[in-house]
Amino acid sequence: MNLPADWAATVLTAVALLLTLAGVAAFGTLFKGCLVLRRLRRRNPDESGNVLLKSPLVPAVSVLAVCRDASPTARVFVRRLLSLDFGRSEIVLVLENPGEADRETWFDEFRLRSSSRVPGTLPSAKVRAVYQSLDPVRMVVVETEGGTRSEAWNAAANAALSPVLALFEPSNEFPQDALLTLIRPMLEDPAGTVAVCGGGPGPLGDSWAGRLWGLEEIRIWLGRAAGAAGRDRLVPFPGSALLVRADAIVEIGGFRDGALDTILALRKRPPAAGKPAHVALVPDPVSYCRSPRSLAELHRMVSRDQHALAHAMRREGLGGMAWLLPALVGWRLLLPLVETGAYLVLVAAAVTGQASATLIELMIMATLGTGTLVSMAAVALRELAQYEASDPTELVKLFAAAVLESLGYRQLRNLWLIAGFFGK
Amino acid sequence: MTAVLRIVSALLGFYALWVAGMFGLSLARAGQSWKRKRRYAEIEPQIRQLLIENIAGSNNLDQIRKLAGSDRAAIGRVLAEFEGKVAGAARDRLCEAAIDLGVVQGWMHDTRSRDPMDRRRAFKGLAFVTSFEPCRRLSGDIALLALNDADREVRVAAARAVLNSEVPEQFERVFDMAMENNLLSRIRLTEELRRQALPLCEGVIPRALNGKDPARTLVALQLLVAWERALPFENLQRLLEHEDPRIRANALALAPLVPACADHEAAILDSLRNTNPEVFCAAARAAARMKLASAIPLLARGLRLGSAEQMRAAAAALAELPPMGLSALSDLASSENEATAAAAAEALERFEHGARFG
Repeated sequence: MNLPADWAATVLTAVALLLTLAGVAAFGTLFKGCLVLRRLRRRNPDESGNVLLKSPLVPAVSVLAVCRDASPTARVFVRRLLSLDFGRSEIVLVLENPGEADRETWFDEFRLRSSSRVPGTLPSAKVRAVYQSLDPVRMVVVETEGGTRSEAWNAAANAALSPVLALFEPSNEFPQDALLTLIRPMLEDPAGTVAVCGGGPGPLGDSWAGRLWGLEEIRIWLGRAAGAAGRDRLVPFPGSALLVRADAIVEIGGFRDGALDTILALRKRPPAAGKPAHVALVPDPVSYCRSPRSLAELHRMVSRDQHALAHAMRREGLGGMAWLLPALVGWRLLLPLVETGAYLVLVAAAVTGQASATLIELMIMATLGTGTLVSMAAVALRELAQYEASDPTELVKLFAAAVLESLGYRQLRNLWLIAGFFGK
Repeated sequence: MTAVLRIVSALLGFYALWVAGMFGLSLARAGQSWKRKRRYAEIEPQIRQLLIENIAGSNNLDQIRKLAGSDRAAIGRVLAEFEGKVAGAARDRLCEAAIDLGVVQGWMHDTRSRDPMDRRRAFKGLAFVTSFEPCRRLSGDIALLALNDADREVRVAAARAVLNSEVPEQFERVFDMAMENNLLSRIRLTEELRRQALPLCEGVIPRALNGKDPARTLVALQLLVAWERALPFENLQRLLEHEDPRIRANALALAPLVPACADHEAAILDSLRNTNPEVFCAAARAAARMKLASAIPLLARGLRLGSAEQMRAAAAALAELPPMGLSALSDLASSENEATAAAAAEALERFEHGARFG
């Protein structure tokens, strides 16, 4: 195969131009997200939690949870859900195929007794029994045989009595008033809002892994959450919690295997009364990912998000959600592939003596330079988006992380993203 | 390649300049905010303490003035914290201090600000002090005019100020505004509207309930139910028999809050024969709340023949009607119909557990 002598220079120049333009597009999306967040902050009331807590006009919410065992982590998660402040809420816990010892533990912990609730019509895992707690907590437990995630959620939705369902990730942190904040968009537009996604950057971690995740979180918040919400294309994002109307879930025939897939299915249903399904954003830290303490934890978090994206794409096809899925796949799969390929070509060109100093300089600017500036811009735009200024020390740490991110982590993350998309 | 390098360099250079500028600004803002927070953390507890002493009778306004310096807003913030925590003479004394310290005048000035956030803060403050007559006289009709403000939050804060001003002629306008607003705004005005229930029940509420627009009637009913207080409203009969099940269910929820009469009882019993689950469940709750022993046979029927939702509502209502309701529940707990038996047993178990543990 005869390649022209300057093939590497031609390819790498094109790649550099593409990566620079991608950086400009990223900045545009982050800026758009910043404007959306400012608009939302201006529109949203500063208070009302206590008023909502007392009012019988606020719809009841069933918080759904699925546990496979009675480990301390699982029980702590359920206790955290029970401590959520809300006027009329219940926890519907699905115990998937529990062992005898696990079953006993749950029975002892919440003093469960048989319930008269009958399972509904959504396709779910086979229900063995339904229990209610005798403690002064509103809790229903559905014991099922094993099944998929969607079947477990559907079993919980079948037993739930409230018009609104809530989903929190066990691995996320959420404050006690999360439900009171999340419900607001549904009260502002009860007919039009079918779902609410809420989340925002949590406290910055002390470790380097935590700071790198802090940058990732800000980019997600501005771009994937607010940027998409500005174009009414919001879907669940890492760290977010979800509220969804129960009737909408019944209309689409039940939950899908993940919050992202479920919202994509909701958006595809025919618009009721000429109004498309509106998914509202609550851009507050009502739910956020726990800050990773090590690189391994960070790897798991990045990969989990990538798995969800890959799953949604396989199910919906690239055309899902107009431009949103293709944009996400382009951003989180194609660009890392192109960039990683460009590094390899650059190394090969350098070894064969075809890489000039100008070419190396161009590639460094297009990859490391653009990446650093996009991350720094995200931190600066977050400051513009929120009324309260951040702690100056935190700001400096984030800017430092944005510089160091490109020196090693960016390249490693590219590999994680590629492997996460194709891996199981 | 050199041309591309120039383009990329120019783009990134421009970008880097912007980022550097923004970083500088953000850092300066963060530094200022940190200093401000530190100052607040230092002076606000002292202002709070001095205001508490002022409520108790101390004449320490000069001390507060000196402490706050040019930062009147700090006094305003601390004053606003007292909302809902003080009443009567203590509240009046705080309001008087707010005038003497120039805080009310500051809020009045901010109501003309172009920034809606400033206007919101100003009306929130005014809503707290307008119950005090001198403050009301001072602020004039600012709050009333702001009911037409472009910002929804300002309108809600102004509506609260109007409702706290104890001028009944203006309440109807706020009630109408609440009916036209979204559910969230209505919920946020519930407490203030509730306090003015008596004057509202004289005119605007009967008009809203008896009007021809069912949507408006429903909203008015939901507001009244949310008040959770006794109302001097007797003409509920038409609504208890309304053809729209949502209106009927809300009227049933309101029935225990209005003076009892035989017609209402008959309407509740009639609703317990209704097949619509929403109407039946609302009637069951109303019967339990009004302790209608005459409803027990119909509740028992609902527990035997109703849907799962009706069975649960009927069982819960029977558990609230001892001793005959409990006796009916005990009988039905051994019913051959499994769903009936389970619902009855669960309600009985809850009642016994409640009785045992209070």
